Amino acid sequence: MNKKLILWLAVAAIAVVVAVALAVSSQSQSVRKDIAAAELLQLQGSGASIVDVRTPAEFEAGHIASAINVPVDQLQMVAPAWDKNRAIVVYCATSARSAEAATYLVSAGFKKVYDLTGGLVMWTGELVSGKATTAAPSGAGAVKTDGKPLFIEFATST
Amino acid sequence: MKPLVEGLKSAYAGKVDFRVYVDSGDPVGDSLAQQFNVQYVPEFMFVNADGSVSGEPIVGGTDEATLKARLDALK
Repeated sequence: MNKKLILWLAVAAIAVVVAVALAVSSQSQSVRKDIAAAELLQLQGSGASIVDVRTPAEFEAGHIASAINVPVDQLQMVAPAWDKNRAIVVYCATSARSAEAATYLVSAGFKKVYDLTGGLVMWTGELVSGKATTAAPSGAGAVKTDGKPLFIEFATST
Repeated sequence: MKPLVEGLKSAYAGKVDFRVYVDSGDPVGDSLAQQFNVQYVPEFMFVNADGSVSGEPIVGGTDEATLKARLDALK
């Protein structure tokens, strides 16, 4: 085997390795997509987090069922504790603030970020009002204890 | 908040159980956070021995006196 052939084989092998690395890399990249209401409902059904990035007052007046409220200016404090592999749908009134939120989430490494096109202005589905989407039971047995009072802290490592 | 909570954990050892859920990924913690609509961290919840929730949770930073008062009120 002459030297030229060996050199070409080496170049071909490197090219294959680079191509595979690029393919793997593209699979792990974030996906950001603008979606319509119907797709939001599908994602909601499959367990995606629905995040309302408007103000608490706007949220209390009416929001999409199961949504949590994290105003866009507080997202950077709260989101680092979330699972980056879980799909997240963001929305606001017109999709201006949610676009900003989606940009941040992608830059923060979230893999599946969806933005409701047009925001609630374009939403024709049902809205619920109030601070919490569902009233959590709080009476006896609401939290499993070992027979002693319990202190729970939800924290972040960052 | 970690040193503060660690100190309280020692002070209330044997009287109050302490559970700290850091970030997501813990199934029990995630389930509780979802159940009680936890949106911000840190958030502190107080639970009586019978499993009933005592008062409103404390969201955000707080101080030792406040936490002690809430812990002392647990039944």
